[in-house]
Amino acid sequence: MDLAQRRPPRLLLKWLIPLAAALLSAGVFFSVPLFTAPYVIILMTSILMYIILSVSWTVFCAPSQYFSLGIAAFFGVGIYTYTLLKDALPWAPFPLLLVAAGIGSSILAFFVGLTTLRIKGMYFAIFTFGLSELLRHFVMWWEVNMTGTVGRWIAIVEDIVVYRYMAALAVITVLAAYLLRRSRYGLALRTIGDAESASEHVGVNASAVKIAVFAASCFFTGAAGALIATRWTYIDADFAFDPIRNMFTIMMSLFGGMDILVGPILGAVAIGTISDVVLARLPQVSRLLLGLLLVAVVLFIPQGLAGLFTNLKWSHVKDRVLAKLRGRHDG
Amino acid sequence: MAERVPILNGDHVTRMFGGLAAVSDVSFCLFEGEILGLIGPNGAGKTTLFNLISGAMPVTKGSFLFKGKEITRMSISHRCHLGIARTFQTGKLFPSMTVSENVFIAALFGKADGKSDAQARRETLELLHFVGLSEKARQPARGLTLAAQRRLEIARALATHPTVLLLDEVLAGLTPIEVAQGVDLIRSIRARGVSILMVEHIMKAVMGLSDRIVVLHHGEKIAEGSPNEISTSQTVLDVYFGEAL
Repeated sequence: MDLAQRRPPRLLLKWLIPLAAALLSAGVFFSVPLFTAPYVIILMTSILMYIILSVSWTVFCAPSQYFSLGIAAFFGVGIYTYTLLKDALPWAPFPLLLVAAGIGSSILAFFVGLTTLRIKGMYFAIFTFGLSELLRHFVMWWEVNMTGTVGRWIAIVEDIVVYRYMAALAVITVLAAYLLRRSRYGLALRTIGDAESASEHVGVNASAVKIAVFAASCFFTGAAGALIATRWTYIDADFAFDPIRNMFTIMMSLFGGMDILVGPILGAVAIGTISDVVLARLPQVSRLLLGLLLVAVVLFIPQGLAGLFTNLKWSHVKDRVLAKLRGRHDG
Repeated sequence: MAERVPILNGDHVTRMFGGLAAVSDVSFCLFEGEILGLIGPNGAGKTTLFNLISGAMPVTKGSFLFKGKEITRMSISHRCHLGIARTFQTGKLFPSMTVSENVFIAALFGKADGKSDAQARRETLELLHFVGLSEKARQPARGLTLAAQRRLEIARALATHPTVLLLDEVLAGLTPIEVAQGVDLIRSIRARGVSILMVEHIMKAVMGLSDRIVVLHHGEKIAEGSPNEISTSQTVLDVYFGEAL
């Protein structure tokens, strides 16, 4: 896709395609539970959650080349924002609390961005990883010493309801990522990853773009956290800020491929399904196998599944088929 | 030149790196419509001075006036919006983007007032044509020849609608034919009404193009004058060829 060459899209094209895709996927997601077993609904909910985490992670990290290892931090902050607000305002409608949880994570991301996005590459990764761990220990300390408890009860929400909200949130996340990638701010984010110093010199306010997109992307991470937590009935800091979510999200994004939007979606579906199956059959070695898979991906398909497909060059296949058809007509 | 309106002034500009003065007490003035050459041996502080003017580095002492306005503490992007653009000696294109996207992004963000995508696209096409890269518009910026990279850097800088353009060795490493074409290009940029400050090592080009020349040595300004005066200045000859015995 060449944004500079793109013809000004007709209004119809610009909005109709994403809207149709969103409606179609929403329709599929909403109707699937009518025909399937409860187990499938739970599996699909967690796959949808990982679609949200990996898409919102890639949308910032891939173009900007600032790699956040703080997914667990924003995820956990979403959970705790939700829980605390739910206790304080039991009458508040569920969707409003989810939005508030997302905003809680965005606010944290805003301040993290303000203080650390001036730090280059590796230091940003280490800082955000440290932040997850710091928050995990801080929340644990706070609960034990200040509230006198270890964890909290969460009012359980029906699986099917969680599923529907997760599907809706996933559609919104993908749509937002799609629109960002096509916008001038998506392009600006790529200049930051390519040559940050040059990006300022063409007039991009790099800090503002980085902070805004980072904070916005963390909204979805936090909201997804709050949503999935309503399925757990009980939360504690170790579970809410579990760093395994960093690993899963990044692995899915790498496996699927980070260069195009469907990459992280493919990755979340593939690894989400594989890990579930492996976990059920071979619980002792599941993480070992996932680790091996990650190593294999990095070594052999660094562009991920999506990269494999685009390298096949669909256009070549199409050309060949068309040529054959034409040949038959001519002959 | 009949009326000489100063557009960019450096006033006693100093930049220290630890105890070393990379640029030391340099004052200069760029007039409207002028090409000012900046020469000096390697390590003389030319690129550092560019970094100070464009805002990539803060000054230790001194100040800059752009169109009479103090810009010394402004951010890089703010200076760009006001009308200062540059190219990079080491080449800093956006390699993952296409040639036209490299220019397009600068057209979109180069000025503070938001521009429509359509307008930015028109300007991109015009500039690619101007620097002679229309054919390569859809290619990725990585993999361009050196000469094409330099042209793209120039087009990208011009897309921000600068009044002052800083050219950092855009001719270095090019073949003689490419240098000649580059010289023509720089002349036609000036014809667009852009004032140019250029660092260049190729003496024939810089002497031919510049209205005036400033010579830096060890961070200090040691000479200033017309190309003719500079090429006959004993101080300058001493710096370049060593002192006569």
